[in-house]
Amino acid sequence: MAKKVLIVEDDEFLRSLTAKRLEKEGYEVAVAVDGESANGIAVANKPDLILLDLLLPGIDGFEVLKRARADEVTKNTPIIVFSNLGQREDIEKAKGLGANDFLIKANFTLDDVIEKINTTLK
Amino acid sequence: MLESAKESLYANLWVIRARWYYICAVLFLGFLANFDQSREAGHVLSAQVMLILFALSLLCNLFFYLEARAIEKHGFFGRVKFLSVSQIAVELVFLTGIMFAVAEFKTIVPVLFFIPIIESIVLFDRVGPAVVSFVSGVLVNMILILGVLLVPEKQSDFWPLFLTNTAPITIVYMIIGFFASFLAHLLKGRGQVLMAQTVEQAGHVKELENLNKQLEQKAGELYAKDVELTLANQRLQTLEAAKSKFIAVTTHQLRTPLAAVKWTFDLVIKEQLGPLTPDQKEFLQKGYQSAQRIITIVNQLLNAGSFDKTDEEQMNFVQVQFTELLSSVVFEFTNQSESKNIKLEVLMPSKNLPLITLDPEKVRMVLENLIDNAIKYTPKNGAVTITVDDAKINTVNPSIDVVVADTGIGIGPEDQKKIFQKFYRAANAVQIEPDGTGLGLFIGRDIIIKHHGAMWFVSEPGKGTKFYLTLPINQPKQ
Repeated sequence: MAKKVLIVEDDEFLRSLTAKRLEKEGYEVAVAVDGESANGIAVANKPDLILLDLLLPGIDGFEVLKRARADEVTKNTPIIVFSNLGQREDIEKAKGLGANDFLIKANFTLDDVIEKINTTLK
Repeated sequence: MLESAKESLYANLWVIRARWYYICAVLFLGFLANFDQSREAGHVLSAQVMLILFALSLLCNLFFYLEARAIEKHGFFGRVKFLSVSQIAVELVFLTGIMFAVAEFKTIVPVLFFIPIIESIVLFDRVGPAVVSFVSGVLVNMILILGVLLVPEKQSDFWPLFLTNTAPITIVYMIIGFFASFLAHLLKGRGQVLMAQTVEQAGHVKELENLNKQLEQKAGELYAKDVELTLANQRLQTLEAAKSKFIAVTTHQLRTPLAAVKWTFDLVIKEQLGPLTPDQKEFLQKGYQSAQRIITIVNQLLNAGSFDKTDEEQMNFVQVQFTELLSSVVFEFTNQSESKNIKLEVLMPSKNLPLITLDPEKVRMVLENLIDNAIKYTPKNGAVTITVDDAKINTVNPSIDVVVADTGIGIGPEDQKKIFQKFYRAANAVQIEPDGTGLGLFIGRDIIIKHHGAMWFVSEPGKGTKFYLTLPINQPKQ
């Protein structure tokens, strides 16, 4: 059965690029475009992994992360924080709230991301 | 001059006040004389005459008093001398008159004349008392002689009297005059010294007051400056915070579209959207490299901004498989090196490395910077070799050594001294790459030092450069 990945990303271009790439890799993809809907969609779709952007309209990624970890359904789902915030405090905070990993979009190519996901879901 | 005149005036006033008392004393003595039975007829002043004299002398003293007050009030200090002289003169006349009329009190006569002499010590300087003594002496002698001459019975006593009394009296008065003038001078001297001291002290006091005023002024200025500086500091801090925020926000905002650009290029170059002609591929690779360069600069700016508050707390140490980190970095540069036909090679140790405690994001930056430089500054068909050495893994302070070696333009001796400085770029580097921040090595070395490691290099212009990194396996416990 194909693994499911939930992409939480507000930038349309990046979201579609990532989704396309993931589908090519054989993953099933679900998307959320803002913080509000992210947790709801996660609970509904029960993904195997969540790619979470931090800078989101409405409630931010940290909040989504917190809520996800508080919810029964998603509390153990691997979450890779996937953002362009890169200051140490941000990384700390994300890890502290229960993120499994932290990637800076600008520093990695999509292939790197795919590799990361593959490794995490192995 | 004014001060001495004032002093003189007060001396005069003192004499005038004293005189009230001794006029009464003299009157009393006069009355005593009246009750003396052994008086000689005709030489005694009747009570009325004495009272008249008494009244007259009181009047004169009152006159002197009023004159002195007038001088004091209106400041006619020129008249003080005249007042002194007239006092003495009038007194001498009075005394002479009285003594002459009351010839019985021969013994009293010389004593009473001491009064003007004493007054003159207070009123005058050297000359006054001497003169007054002399005059007194003359007057006393005159009284004695005339007292004898006017009494027919005693006229034969004249010469013996003259010889036995006059000479000693004269001598005595001269001696008195000498001492009196000495005393007067001493007093005046003392007075002058005191006055000088007072003036000096007044001068000191004024000086101190001035200084105090100046100090107060300076204190006021300092306080104002302090307020100014505090305000300026606050403004600076606000500016600093605003600047940091600006850089952070801007760079973060830039990173998102940059990631998009990078990914797009990557996608197309890897021919995942269809095959490419070699030309297309070459140009797209250039685009990708540019995007990567911008990302690097943005990262550097972000970090240079945060390096103003340099301290080790900024390091986010985690345990990392170094070989993986290095591989992923090298991977980023495959396109870049291929386009220049530079052989990019990584030599790993045969055994697996243990996990190393480091800040992956920061170390990634350092590696990226070194490899980027190596490729950038190596001409076509060169080679960049990255070696990881685990020779020191089993030592007391285990560490790994990384060498990034290139066959590039090298760093000249003058530049070598400055190459780690913030914003410094060597001329030959600028020629190859006009746009560069000069921050890479500065930040890189700072990061490695914060990892308790070391970074150095060896270079030969025209031949190549080798950058050395040492990273300890473990970080000291906080």
